[in-house]
Amino acid sequence: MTSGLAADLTADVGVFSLAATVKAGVGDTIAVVGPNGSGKTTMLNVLAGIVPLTAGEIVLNGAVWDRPADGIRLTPEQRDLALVPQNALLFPHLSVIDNVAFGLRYRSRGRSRRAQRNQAHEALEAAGLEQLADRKPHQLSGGQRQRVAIARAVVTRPSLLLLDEPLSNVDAANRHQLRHTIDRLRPPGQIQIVVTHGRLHAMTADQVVALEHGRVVATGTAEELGRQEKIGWLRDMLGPAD
Amino acid sequence: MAAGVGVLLFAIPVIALLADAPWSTLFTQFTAPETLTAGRVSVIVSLAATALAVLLGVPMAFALANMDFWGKPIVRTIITVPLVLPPVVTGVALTSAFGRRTLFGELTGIGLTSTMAGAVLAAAVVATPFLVLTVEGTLRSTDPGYEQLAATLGAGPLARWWRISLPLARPGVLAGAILAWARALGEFGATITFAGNTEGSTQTLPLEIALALENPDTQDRAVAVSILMLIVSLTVLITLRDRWIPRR
Repeated sequence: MTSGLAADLTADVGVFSLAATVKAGVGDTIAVVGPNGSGKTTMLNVLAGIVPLTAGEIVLNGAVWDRPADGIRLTPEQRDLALVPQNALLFPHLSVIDNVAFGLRYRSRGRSRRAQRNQAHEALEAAGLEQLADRKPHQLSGGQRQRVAIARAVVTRPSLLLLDEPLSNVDAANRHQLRHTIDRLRPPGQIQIVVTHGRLHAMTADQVVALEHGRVVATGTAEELGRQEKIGWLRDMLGPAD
Repeated sequence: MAAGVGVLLFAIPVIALLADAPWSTLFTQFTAPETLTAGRVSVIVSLAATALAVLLGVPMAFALANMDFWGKPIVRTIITVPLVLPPVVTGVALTSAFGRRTLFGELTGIGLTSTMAGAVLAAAVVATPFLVLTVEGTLRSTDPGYEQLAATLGAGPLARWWRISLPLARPGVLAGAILAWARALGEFGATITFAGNTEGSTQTLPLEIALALENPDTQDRAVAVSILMLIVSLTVLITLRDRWIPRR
């Protein structure tokens, strides 16, 4: 059985087409970078099973999630993953704590409701939001909503965690704490794929995948990509700071 | 200018109705035995019709909003046709389908004509399209991302429907139910054609108004009951709208 993620992605969303390959070892963090409209979010949606593959395959730790050629396609709920969308998408009718506990009901079967709730409280505490547990999403700031969305995803301790610009709405003071939360609740072997525009996030990843127009234009460590000369925006993002 | 004329078009009949009201005997008219009986029938029929509209209309709205199936435009047309059909025609159609001398009547041994069940059915048929269209509109304007995200958190189709889609559609269901109830409460044409005008079982308040208006001695009661229906409708509409339907 091959461990890690092997994804050969071909998918269409309207007129946009994605054709990209992503590989990750067990426990790796992959940063996906690229200009707006390059297909970063589509890549996450394909991995999550929201957008179907038209060709290729997704295999995680030996389990085939999607392989159109063999008629295999797991639904999102059948995949051991969690997603943090760019716009948080907290369920508006649920309180903060119910949002965080939502996935535990399905991903932590066998544990009592009380245990699930305690687990959700711990995740909320780790995100520094325990005092907001009973609030509704509309009573939170944009940054707080994003932090709850991260807590909701990481608490389920999935094998694959997909994060779409998770820190974009979070102020500098809370970024450090949130990164700490993501790390603290990370189970051994979890693969993280992070779409980011942030240099720091990319620099700390094991590998960076650069996308343009739905195609991978470069892949390697942040240091390697910062040294290359062909892609200006990538060099500006990852090259030595002036 | 045109907007002002439009507002007057709606306001003048209400003002005229209030000016015509027998204020000194209003309470007596409200508590007249005929009014109380028709009021009781109206409450039962309109609430039962609303319940039927919710039970049948919500699944139909979900199917129309979320599913692709052959003949969907035809199904939508059939469901919404009572909106444009004269209610009398709906009543005739119901008589043809559920009257005593129909297959339904022969199989069941009872037709629904001249029964309270018939009045409920007539009111439900004309009211349900309002609920279906309102709920479908709400569902279509809801971000599909919520359901997709719930799936990535492990929720299956039924859990997503119960815990995400249905609660998010709640304002639409409530708004649709209120509209359906108001339409059922005011239903006249289909009811009198299909269910008749029997005191105590099918004679609702609108039918009582029409009957009272025919006799010069009871015209005051017709106006009084009209005012009663106006008050009830406005009260429910205003209080429920502000409480349950979020302002955009």
